[in-house]
Amino acid sequence: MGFLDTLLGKSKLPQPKSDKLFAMSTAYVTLNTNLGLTSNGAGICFKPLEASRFQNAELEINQLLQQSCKETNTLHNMKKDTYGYLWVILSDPDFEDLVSTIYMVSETLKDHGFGEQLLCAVFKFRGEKDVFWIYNFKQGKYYPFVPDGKKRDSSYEFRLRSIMDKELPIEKETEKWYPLWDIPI
Amino acid sequence: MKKWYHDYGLQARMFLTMFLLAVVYLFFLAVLAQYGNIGTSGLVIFAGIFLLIQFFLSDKLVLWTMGGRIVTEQEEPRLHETVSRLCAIANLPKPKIAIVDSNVPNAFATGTSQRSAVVAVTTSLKQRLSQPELEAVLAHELSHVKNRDMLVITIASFLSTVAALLARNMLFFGAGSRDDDRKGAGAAVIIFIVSIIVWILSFLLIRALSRYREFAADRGSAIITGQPSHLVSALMTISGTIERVPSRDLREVEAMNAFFIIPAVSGDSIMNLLSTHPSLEARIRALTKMEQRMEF
Repeated sequence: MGFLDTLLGKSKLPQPKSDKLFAMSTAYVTLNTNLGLTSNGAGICFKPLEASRFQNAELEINQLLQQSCKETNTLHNMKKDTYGYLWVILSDPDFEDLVSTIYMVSETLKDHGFGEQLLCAVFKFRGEKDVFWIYNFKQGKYYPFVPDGKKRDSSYEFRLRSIMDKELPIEKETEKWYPLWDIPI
Repeated sequence: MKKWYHDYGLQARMFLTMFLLAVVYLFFLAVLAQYGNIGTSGLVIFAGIFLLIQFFLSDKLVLWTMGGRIVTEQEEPRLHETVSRLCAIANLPKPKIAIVDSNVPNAFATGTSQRSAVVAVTTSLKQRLSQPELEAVLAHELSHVKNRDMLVITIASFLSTVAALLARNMLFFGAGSRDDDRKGAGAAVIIFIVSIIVWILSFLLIRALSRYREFAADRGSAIITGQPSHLVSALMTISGTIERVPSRDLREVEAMNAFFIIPAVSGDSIMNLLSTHPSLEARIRALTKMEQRMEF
């Protein structure tokens, strides 16, 4: 936000950056071979608006999902969580399909002018523990989230960061590694 | 596709207010430079140091006077999660979260920078508001943080405080000039009168600025949550309960009004011109207008 915007108290939300999303498809190979993590679904989370135009966007996303998921055999559903955010949850054995479907949903929202409402995309992996890689659209960066009961397994998260640092654009400021509890994936 | 129209009227009014404030201050500085003596410049420096200390301690001071307690994620998971999601959408560093034990439903934001910000809610607010309403209030406070309103108001108030100090000082201790020639006394009278005028003008302008910042934060909340109606219902709930709470409690929190989402004094008792917050009706009107524009 520029100086003048601050001075005049203008509120502008940053636009989402979806292009770095695809880094995950190559990084998955390393995650799989080096850490033994296997893909276990993905999701994209956004904040619904109360405008009627948003309902149109929602409808179009639903239609798009139905079409493209038929081609790729991706399972999908939409859920609203307790905070009132909408989730599109996908599961597909082919990891590439997961990434591209998530990208498609984010682009559809952007096309309708709702890109600012995108919260994040989440990729879930199964290993000795459930590992989530969360993509922050505002930063265009990934960060790891490993819930351990009610706490985070920070040491495992830092290990993930050091291993994946070269392959994924990882959020440098750890205070922006926002946790997401009860991810419905 | 453009979703949010810009409120050029609000921005123009805010700009005009700041411009007028700058004019008043420049005039004040010119008079000080022309007629001031060692005593006045000493007072300016003293006020500067005082405000600087106040500014850097403000978050702790506000929390301390309000009896706010910083809560961890384990204590208030829902509050933390709501705030961190809003921060992720608005691309802000996550502020600390504090809880104030109070029967008055209210919220405030403090802190000198985006990094050191604290967002506080009262226990009553947490109980009375629904999740979407609470989210809207938190987004309003985060907009204050995002717009750096603490900093803006502190800077805007600096010379106003100096003028107030000068006027009061001269009223109680006389001209303050030890040289008894008539020229010195004349200069002191000019400074005294100018200080009073600057004090009054800047006071009114700062109040106006503060009200515009409130409108801006309301807009910010609506943009972050995407749901202006939730802030409307939250404001109505808060103001409705504020009128019903006993006045003893109101007096206790009255000093902190400038930081609150809704001041704890019932609206009719103070003139709008002197108020730090716009009237509830005006805020709701602005939000409703946003909501209507969203449909196009």
